[in-house]
Amino acid sequence: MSTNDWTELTRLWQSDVPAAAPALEVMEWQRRRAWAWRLTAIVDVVVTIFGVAASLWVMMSDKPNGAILGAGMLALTLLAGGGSLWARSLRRAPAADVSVLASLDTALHRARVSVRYWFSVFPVNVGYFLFLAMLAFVTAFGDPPASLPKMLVALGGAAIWGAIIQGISVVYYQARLRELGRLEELKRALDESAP
Amino acid sequence: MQLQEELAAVLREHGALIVRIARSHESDRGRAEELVQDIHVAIWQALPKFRGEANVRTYIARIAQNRAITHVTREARRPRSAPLEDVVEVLPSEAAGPEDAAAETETRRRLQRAVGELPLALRLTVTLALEGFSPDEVATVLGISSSAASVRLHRAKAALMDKLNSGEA
Repeated sequence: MSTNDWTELTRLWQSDVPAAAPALEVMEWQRRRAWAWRLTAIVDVVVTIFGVAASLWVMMSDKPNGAILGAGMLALTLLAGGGSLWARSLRRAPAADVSVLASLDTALHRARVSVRYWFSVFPVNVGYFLFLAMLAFVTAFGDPPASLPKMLVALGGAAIWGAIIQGISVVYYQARLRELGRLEELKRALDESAP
Repeated sequence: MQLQEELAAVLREHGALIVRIARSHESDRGRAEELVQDIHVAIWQALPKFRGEANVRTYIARIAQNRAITHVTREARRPRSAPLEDVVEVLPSEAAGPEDAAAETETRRRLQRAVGELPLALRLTVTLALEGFSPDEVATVLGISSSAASVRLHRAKAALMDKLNSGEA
């Protein structure tokens, strides 16, 4: 490779001069993103508050198995709310103005924690299905309430909801695994050049 | 208002560099534009923290490369290597005639394609080299020693020339 070749390539590369975005447009993008971020955070908080209130209401009601059902609902609501808050903190990109290697280390740490978290979600989901199965068993064979069909429909709905969440978890887990693999590959490649 | 003016000045001065870096990592035009937006927003957020310990161009390149890494590693699929037919916007060519201009455009496309097909670690380095960064500046952007940066630059340039000469791109 001659110096002339490289000089020519550099000239050629830099002769592609795309138009820059106006600063006002950039600030508008940022405002829109910040609003979208806030909106989803508000939805998370509202859903968690609603879930906690509903759980307490079920626990204190005189419905059959209300205490077990309410306690289960409360545990799952708090777990989902906490998980969402935690995932939100991880989705924020690491500081952009540090060196590539420092940024990569932060991204690697987050990806590893993320993979571990999503791996740990599987046993929680298994626990959720066991909880539903136990409720269905107690409801059907214990002291069947008058509203048995409604209860079974509710449990069926909860099982479908759990299956959807499980499906999303699997997809998310695989995506995070791929991300982790690419980050580790990049880290290895950058480390290889260290003399 | 002062921040807006600073951002406007940075984008005027380094906007093309940002877009070129983004396009080197993402060949799909729509997704490349999203990446450019990401980088712009990151620059806007980082500007108040800029204390002048590096030059602005190095600072901007660092932000652009960091955002590009996040983009590439989070993408569900590998970046596509579709030809960059519609993304080339060029300065008026100094070439003599339309045939020379067409040849230059074709060579530029090949160059962009070849850069886009390099492994990420080499691509990070080669884009900085093509932007005219010195080994010391590359070291600052990547966070490695100057000697390691020189080794990386050598490897990256060689890999790019191999790709161009083998006609793969």
